[in-house]
Amino acid sequence: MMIVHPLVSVVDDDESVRESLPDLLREFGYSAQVFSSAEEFLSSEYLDRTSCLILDVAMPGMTGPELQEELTRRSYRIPVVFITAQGTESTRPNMLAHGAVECLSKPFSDVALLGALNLAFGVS
Amino acid sequence: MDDNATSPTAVTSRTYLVLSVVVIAIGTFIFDAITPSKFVIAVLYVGVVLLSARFLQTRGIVLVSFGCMALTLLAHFLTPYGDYLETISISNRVISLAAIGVAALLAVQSRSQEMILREQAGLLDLTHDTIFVRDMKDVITYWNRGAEELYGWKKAEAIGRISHHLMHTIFPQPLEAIMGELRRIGRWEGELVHTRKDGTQAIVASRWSLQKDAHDVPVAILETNNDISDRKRAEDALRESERRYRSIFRTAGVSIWEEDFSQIKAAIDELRAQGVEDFRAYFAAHPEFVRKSISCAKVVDVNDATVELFKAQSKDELLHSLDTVFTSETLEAFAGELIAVAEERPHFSAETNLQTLKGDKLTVLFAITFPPRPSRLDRVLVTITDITERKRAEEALHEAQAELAHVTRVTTMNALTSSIAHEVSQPLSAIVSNGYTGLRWLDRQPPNLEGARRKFEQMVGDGHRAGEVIGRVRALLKKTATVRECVDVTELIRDTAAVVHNEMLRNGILLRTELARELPPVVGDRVQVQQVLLNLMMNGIDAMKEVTERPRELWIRSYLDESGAVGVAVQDTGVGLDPNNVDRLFEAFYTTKPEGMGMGLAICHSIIKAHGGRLGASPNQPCGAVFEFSLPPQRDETAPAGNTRPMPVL
Repeated sequence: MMIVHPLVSVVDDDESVRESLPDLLREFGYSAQVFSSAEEFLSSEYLDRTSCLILDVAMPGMTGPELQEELTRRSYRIPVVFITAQGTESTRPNMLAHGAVECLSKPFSDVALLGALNLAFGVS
Repeated sequence: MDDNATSPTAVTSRTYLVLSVVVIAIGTFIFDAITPSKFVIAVLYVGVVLLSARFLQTRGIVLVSFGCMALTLLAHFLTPYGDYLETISISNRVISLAAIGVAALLAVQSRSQEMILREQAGLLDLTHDTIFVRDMKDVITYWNRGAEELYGWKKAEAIGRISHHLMHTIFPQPLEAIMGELRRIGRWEGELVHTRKDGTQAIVASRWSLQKDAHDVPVAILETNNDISDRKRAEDALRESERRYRSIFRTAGVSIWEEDFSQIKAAIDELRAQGVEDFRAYFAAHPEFVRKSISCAKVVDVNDATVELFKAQSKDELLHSLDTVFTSETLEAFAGELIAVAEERPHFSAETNLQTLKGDKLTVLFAITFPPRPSRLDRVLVTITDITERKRAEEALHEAQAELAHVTRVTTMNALTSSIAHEVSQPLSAIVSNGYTGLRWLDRQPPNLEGARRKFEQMVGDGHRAGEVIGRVRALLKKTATVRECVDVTELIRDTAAVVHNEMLRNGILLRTELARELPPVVGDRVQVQQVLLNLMMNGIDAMKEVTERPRELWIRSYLDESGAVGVAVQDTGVGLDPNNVDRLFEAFYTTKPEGMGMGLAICHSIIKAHGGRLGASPNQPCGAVFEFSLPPQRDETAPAGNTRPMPVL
């Protein structure tokens, strides 16, 4: 019997984040894939299967918001939860205004992450 | 008479004269002795007496006449009477004797008159004045030595010539008019131009007097001339110099005031007579003297630049009193001027404020030059240079520097903290995520111990990574650190004080400095040390912003401590330190300011430590705080800077 878990993809250039987040996501009942850059994600087979994207804002090469734009351009409607290590007060409202589901400052709690995912998947 | 009597040398003519006198005397005697006594031959002795008067003085003439009388008497006894009565012979002798006597008397008299005349003529030769006499046809009849010297012609060359032709006289008015005046009042005075024998011209002050005879008929003109060529030239030069000075004064681009300080000098001289010696102290104790002196300085003249600078309609508006352009701040500089007068200094200059007649404030540099002593100081020149714009630009520059220093401080701090925040947040984020996952796995039934263990391992790894970030920041700072150079702490304090000058003015804070003389240089990074000082001063200023109930003073002191290190103390009268937290002051992120990041003092601490010095803080009495740092002096002056051991950082 196959239970299909929605795929949450994590794009972050930081290795420790890529190591730690998937376990927590799986604990929440999702399947998880990690990518070290926006380019890697765009060229992967998981692009079409991703139901939610957890996206680092500042990355070398294509940044988080740039990836979000690229997805919109390619007509993907994947809900995005931004995570950032150097957020300022204006970062979150800015990201929300540009269509993000949520924007979390690192480090964030499990409850905050779960709340963001619930928003993304429309669970009340 | 003997023709040779007119021979050129006086000695020869005198010899002939004496000879002829002797011959006449002997001849007369022989003739008298052999001639019958009815002839009065002896009367011829009169000629002997008169001739001898030409070369003998009074006594000689008397002796000669006595000799003649003796010869007359001698001839009487030698002469035969002949047919005549002895009485006739005797009476003839008496007549002869009387004639000789009268002749002698007249000769003596005329001789002494001639002597007087000759003496007077000699006196005319002694005078430096040029004197000559011309008759009514302008023929020169007398020419003194002064005239010889001035014009170059000898007496013999000039006498007999027509004066105006000889000297090409240029008259100030027509000669007829001059002669008219001379005839009318007997004298004339004026300036003439004469041409000398060598062709050069002489300007003379000339005085003419008319000489008249007993019948009031003009006979001669006495002309006395003084050479005033040099005086004229000097006068012309002086006039030209005065004209040039006036022209420079009037058109100079800098404001110049000509002032009369004679009343002030007199007042100061009086104080000195009363025993005042220390004028500096006196003026400080008697500001009313200084104030009163302002009205004693008379403005004699001002130039065009002054009229323009002080926005006057004409210079008359400025010629009254200095009061109109003085402000309350000018008084101090004016007192300096008075001290310069009292101490007889040749000049004085100072920076001060003045105001225009329209009331605009001017910042000026004024310089005053006193004439050489002794002088009544009735003509003193004051130049005023308007430096208002320069001052304004300087202030703006300092403001910009302070702003820049502040911005640099803040942006450096921002860049540093955000980069640290980013680098540390990543492993922290991982630790937190792993922690939550681990906890959830432990809470399972049955607990996923294997998974939790893995999470712990990852957390340890992430913790170490965060540590590595700190290590990388340290390495980064190490790379950027430390130029080593000789730093003059006194100069550094002055520069830094200039940078925060306007910030202090804005907050009404008084800066006081107490700087040790001749501090040894310290070795280090000038920019870093300045950052420390700037930081401490800005902290002091921030600490006093809210203070209203006491004076806001920032003290900067420099000193040499017993170990030979150079110390700098920054002391404020601000809110002061929390005694419980003095130890934490220099920890990173410790702050008492609402907008502070708590990095300033931590960085200061690390900089000073890197320089081998110490930074400390203590409460100031009765209020405020003192921050003090000390830096070791340059130890080995011969060692090149690059060979010294690397400085420890952080």
